[in-house]
Amino acid sequence: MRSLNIAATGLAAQQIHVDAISHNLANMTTTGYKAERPEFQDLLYQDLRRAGSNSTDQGTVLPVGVQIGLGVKTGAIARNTGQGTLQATENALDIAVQGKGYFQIELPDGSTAYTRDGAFKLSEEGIIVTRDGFTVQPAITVPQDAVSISINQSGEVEVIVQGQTDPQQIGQFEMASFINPAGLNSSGDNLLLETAASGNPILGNSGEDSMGTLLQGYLENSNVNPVSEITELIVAQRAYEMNTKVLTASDEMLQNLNQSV
Amino acid sequence: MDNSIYITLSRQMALFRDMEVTANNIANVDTPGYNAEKLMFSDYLVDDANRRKSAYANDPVSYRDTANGSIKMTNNPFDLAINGDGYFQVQTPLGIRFTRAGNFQVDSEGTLMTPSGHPVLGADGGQITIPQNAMNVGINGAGQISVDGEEVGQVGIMEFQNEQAMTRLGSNLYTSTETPQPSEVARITQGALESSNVTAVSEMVRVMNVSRAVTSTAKFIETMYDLERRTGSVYAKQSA
Repeated sequence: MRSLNIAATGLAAQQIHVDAISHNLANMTTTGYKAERPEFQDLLYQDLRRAGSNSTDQGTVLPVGVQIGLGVKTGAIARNTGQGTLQATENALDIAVQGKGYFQIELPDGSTAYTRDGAFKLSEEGIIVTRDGFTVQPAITVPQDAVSISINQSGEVEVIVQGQTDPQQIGQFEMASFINPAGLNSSGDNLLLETAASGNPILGNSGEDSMGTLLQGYLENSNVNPVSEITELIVAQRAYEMNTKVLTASDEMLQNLNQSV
Repeated sequence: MDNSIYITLSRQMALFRDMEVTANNIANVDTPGYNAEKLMFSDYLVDDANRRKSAYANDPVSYRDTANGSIKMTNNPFDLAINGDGYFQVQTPLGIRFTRAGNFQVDSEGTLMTPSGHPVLGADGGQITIPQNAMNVGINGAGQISVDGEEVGQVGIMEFQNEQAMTRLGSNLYTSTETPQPSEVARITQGALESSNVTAVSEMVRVMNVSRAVTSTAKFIETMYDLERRTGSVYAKQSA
């Protein structure tokens, strides 16, 4: 009885759908989070009668056949890389990216991760770091006697040091962009890792080409749209119910069969 | 030997097949570009020994409901929906295949691909490459792709004379022995996906119908069996 297994693939797919929605909703207020969406595909087909095969020896062919599908599978979970809304924080080290660029973060093992989360802090040595203490590349050290930090849209960091009036440039953020940002691997903690699918990072300063510009004192909200997530949740839940119904009906059919013999 | 149990059995087997097709439709209620499959039953006439015709249930064809599914906005620039008849062309290792699921991505080289990693082919039959540093990707109704105002290619939409002769391959792909023609009428909507065209209500009604019909045929077989048993016992009594 195939329909039991078919309904089971449907249940599994809708379970993943609900999982993805709950992950999105849980990260609704996560800085720089990009919504994920599962994409489904139909499974294999069994040909019981193949269209185009001969129906008689006179050369007539079957115009249509009988194909029975075996259910559904999750083809991919794609990330929507669209821009999130910006939220003013008035914090000098909160930086939002408007455009395609990512900040480069040096992980403790020396490799590079990428993030859209620009809520940076200062380490005890005055280096600009993420909230987990990882250095934002290239490492920029803010002098101890700095009274104000300003970051322009090209990522140049300027400080005004105690007793001086002219701003002094101490570094510039280097941004990375990807031809296929949806192919980056999420590693948690708002960090993304390069994969063969994402392509090599294209490095550059913000403001150039498609890198996007930086905005100081703002953070990028997640691009999760709660209305569409809730709508999807209703769809997923109802689809799950329908598959359960098929499971129950198939079970009843087998039960009837067993009782009649 | 009475045929009625076997005729009912053929009906019951047809019902189980109907259930499988319905289960597959419901499992794919959320698969982009999925087309519902419908079964058609006919009777299969057989002469029995008494020269009466008995009609067995037979399932000669299942056909695909090729109506357009509803369009769901996603605002993802590489999500394309086809309005009207037509299919995207996809290059797979086994040859060119066709799909209505327009949830595409670009790979690390900028090639437009399906989620399974098969390149999407343009109207000219070549692959489509989105240049690096593309800011704005616009795809118009005819499938022409413009990147920052410059045209870089055209997504091909192909049309078939006989869509029913196409074979489903799974993974949202179809194949056909017919040579398709470029479609003149079908239009592409960017930032949208075609939902599955399965109508949940009618599929659920079918589940109920099939389930009830199995109950009644099972009851019928039971009655027939009972009848035979009683006839047997009557004969047994008489001969005793």
